[in-house]
Amino acid sequence: MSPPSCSPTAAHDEQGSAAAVEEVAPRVFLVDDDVPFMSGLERMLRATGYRAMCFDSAADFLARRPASSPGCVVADLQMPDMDGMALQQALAHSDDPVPVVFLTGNGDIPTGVAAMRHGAEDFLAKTAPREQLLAAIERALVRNSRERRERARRRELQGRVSTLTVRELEVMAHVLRGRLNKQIAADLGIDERTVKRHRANMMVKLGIASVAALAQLAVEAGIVDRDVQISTK
Amino acid sequence: MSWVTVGWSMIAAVCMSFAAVHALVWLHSRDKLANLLFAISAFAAGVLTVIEMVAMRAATPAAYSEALRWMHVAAAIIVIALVWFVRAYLQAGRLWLAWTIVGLRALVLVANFFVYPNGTFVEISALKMMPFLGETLSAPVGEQAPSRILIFIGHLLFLIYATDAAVQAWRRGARRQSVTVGGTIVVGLILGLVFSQLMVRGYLPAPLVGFVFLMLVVPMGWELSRDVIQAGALADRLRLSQQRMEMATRAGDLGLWEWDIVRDEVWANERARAWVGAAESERMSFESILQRIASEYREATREAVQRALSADADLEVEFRIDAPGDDARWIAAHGRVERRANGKPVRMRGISMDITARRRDEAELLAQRDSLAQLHRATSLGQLSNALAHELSQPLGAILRNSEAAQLFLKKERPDLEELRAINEDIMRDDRRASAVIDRMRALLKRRSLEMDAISLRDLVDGVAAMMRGELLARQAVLKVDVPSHLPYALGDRVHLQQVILNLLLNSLEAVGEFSSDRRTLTVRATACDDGWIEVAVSDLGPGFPPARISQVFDSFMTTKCEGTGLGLAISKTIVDSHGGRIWAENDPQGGATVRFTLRAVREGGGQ
Repeated sequence: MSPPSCSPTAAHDEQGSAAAVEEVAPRVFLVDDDVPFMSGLERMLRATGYRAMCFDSAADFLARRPASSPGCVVADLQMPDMDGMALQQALAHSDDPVPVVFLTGNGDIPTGVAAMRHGAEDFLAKTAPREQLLAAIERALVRNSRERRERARRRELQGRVSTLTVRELEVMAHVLRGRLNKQIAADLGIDERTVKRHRANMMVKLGIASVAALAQLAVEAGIVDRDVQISTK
Repeated sequence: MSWVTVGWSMIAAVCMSFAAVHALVWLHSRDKLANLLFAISAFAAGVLTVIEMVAMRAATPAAYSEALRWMHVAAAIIVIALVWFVRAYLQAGRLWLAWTIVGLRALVLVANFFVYPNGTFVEISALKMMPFLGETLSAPVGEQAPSRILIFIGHLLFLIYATDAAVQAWRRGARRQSVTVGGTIVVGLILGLVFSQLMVRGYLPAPLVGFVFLMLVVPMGWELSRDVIQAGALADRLRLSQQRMEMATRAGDLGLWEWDIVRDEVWANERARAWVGAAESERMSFESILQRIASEYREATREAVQRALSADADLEVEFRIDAPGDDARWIAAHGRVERRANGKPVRMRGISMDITARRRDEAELLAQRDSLAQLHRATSLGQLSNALAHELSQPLGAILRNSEAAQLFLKKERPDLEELRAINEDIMRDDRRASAVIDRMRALLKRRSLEMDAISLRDLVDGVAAMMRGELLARQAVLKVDVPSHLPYALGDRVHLQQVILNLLLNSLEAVGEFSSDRRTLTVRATACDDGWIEVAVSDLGPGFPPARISQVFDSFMTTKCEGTGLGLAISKTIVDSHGGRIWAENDPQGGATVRFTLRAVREGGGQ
């Protein structure tokens, strides 16, 4: 199959100038084996003000997608070799997932339900009204933006946690369980003042001032779940 | 009036009458050669009788001699005609004897004209007055001519010839004819010899040939009247059997006809006349009947008749008659040609049947099959509808998005005309794409009869593959097409053949449904055979047909699937059959099944 005639070159140009910027403009990745349809959709999105990028198969998208670029995927559900559902699974297991809006030729309800259950942003007919399609893309982009922010924060917090020494981590775990300094000292078999010093260093390294803030950070960084079960890390 | 005048005149008249009767018989049917020969000899006998009457009243020896000379001519004609009559009537007699007798008689005539004053005497020296039947008549006196020995030998040979022919006929079983003809000729010959000898010896005024011939004619006449009596009885029987036949034909609704080819006259019974709308008195010819046949069947009928006449084959033809004020009537005619011995056709006899009802049933059956095929097409279309909706939504979606884009571009201050032109072109292309999908759908739904055409199988299979694309995608199956583009064209109906390949592929797709993706591969292959056929094979890697039922898979409602009408293969078979091809199913040794069918290749225009 010949590569799509639409925007890959344009997308590459943008990538050069915007790569350095932390938060580049979001892009809509179109994945469809029907190039004429994809080209029409790209034009419409471009005219609306989106930047779209075309891929004529799921494999092509997975191979050529710009690294860590914000955006969403608009994919045909029925494609040869790797169909839309398979693409979604592959994306979900990647370290940079993006939301998927599915397009389909026929409104096949069971397939749509399955797609939605696996986390698709929306499931629309190829002839769906423009507003509906744009709303779905917008929702997907918003979600992607939020998820990207969450992922960035988690990465940042995890970075801070990773600077802690083993002893500081042990102290933090005990603090999160709500133990007092005296109890911690007894448990760890060290002096209470040493506990206090470790605790102060930890708070400084993590950039927080209260136990409440520590609890919040631990959840956001994914160290503990909401029930404050300490991970085995 | 004298007894001689009365008697001889009567004999001459009887001979002439017989001659006339048999000449008429021959004139009516030219192949009755025996009657012609008998007529000739009877005529000659009549003439001879008259000459004889003149001779008996001759005043001078020269006059008698002259009369005798001409009597020899008449006698020669009688003998020669009778020789061939025996052969013709008894269908027997040795040819060399016949020719020898004829040769001897010719020699006698040579002597009669060129050597002696007549064939009997060297010279008639005087006339002797002799009382005969109360009258005084002239009898010749003179020296016998040596050529008389030829007459003796001739008569002797004729005796042998006639006896031999009679024996042959007797052995063959024609006993009555053998006795009558053989007997009378033997008796006549002996009497002729005796009488002519008596005349030469001066005991008779003339050889009394007329009298002898009368003895020959009477048994023949008896024979003839027997024939007439028999003909009468035959006519009665014929009438009876005709009545029976008429009853039978009426009961069987049969038309009887007979065509006299020589006179181009057609006789037909009441029923057959009614069919062609001919009145009782109307004279019918081949052409006049042909004109009543519906024009589109006229030439075919003419050709069928020509074929029967030229090839000694029976006539078998069906045609329609559109009688005014009557529904169209279908007639099947069966006829047999009768020929002369030389092979010339003289008559064609036959029966005709009204097959309108049968034709109607056939038409209904055909319509039923068509509507069944249509039902099935609609069903398979139902199966395909999702795929087709997908097919259609691609171009429609593209058109929609392109128009939206164009609208947005146009709102800009300086619209990019190049972009707009590209959009416009894409819209037009996608519109054509959508039309093509709709056309394919419509062609599948449309009810139609066979339209034979030279078809590129490559194009045909590609078309079906395009139709199947969505369905293949939905089931994640792969279709391999191995149809060489240099294959000869196939003769067939495009839509029906598309239906066959579609049915087979849908079947295969159904078969591989439960298998892993590496087995979800279908193959369409076409190869040209040496014998002017093209074989198309549709294969899959599914479970194959149940071996016990592989021969029945083309029967209607024979299905191994939970969904489907069980008509797919049956309809495919019907279609392939109607193309004159063959369709069969096989299980492949390495797993999976193949359905093959054959189509006639078209040489001209093919091979591109």
